[in-house]
Amino acid sequence: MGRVYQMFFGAYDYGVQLDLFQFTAAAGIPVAVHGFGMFPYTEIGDGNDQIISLSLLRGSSGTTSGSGGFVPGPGLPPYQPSDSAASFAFLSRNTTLMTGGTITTLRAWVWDFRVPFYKYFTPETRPIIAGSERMVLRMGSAPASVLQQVGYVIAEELA
Amino acid sequence: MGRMYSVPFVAAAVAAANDLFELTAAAGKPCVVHSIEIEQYTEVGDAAEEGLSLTLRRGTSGTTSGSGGSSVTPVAQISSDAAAGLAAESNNTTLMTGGTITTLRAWAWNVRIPFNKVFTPDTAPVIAGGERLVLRLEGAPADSITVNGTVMVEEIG
Repeated sequence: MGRVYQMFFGAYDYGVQLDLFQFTAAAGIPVAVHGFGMFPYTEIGDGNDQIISLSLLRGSSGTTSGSGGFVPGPGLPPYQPSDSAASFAFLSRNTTLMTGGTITTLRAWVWDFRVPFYKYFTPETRPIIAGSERMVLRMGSAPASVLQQVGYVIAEELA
Repeated sequence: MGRMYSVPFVAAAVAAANDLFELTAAAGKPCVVHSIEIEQYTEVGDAAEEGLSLTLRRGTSGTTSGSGGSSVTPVAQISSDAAAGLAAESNNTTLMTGGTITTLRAWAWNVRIPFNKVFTPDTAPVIAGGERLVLRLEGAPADSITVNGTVMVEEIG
């Protein structure tokens, strides 16, 4: 087992299409995503019900990183205190989306904002990116109305 | 363990009975399905609620592939892995027919919530080389739905 890290999105207004999170693996250090969760807390009741499309995308090393979102401080803390800081780069809530290179859809889901969106993967089905590749969770469109949510991702570095 | 592939589709309009997925195993390469996820995002709210019947069916090599949908290229879980030998299609409006078709599972899907199945290793559906597996929507939805879905499949051999 490699080193495991947890990253938080933080509270935020979601009003446009976003790459909700983006990993860029360090050279030679693949990353496997174990799971993630997103928790909206402003869209309540039948009148606010809305569902959007989500895609988990893998980008080749030739892609251009998204931007405009949240950049956590350096040295993402590991689960095990004695482990080293993460080598991958992590961004969240990018308003300019990952582009260029070769982008492949790994999974396609939808999310009803009235309930949390959880995904925990069995070991054999965890999404994986090789060294220098990117992975993003992309909203298919902007929400019909602005919502607020918090979220997290748990990922493992495999070398 | 074999090679893992995801078979995704995005934004498929479904208005009729449909083979949401069809997997055809290559000769000598059995396939194991580890998970199935089907979700829709256009029918929202109490008034749009409906339940749909789903079956998972295995077809012998003598079956005729469905048609009318889209081919999907399975995506290797590890990007450097070889391309899959299996063939995948989504949203076939002409259903798999002929040969011997066996129902492996029968479920129902309330379209307002995700339909997610993650199989334990002992209960994962398996097809032998040359066989087919379809996830069949047994009847037309009352209103057209726009569907995303993913099957995670392992190819052995």
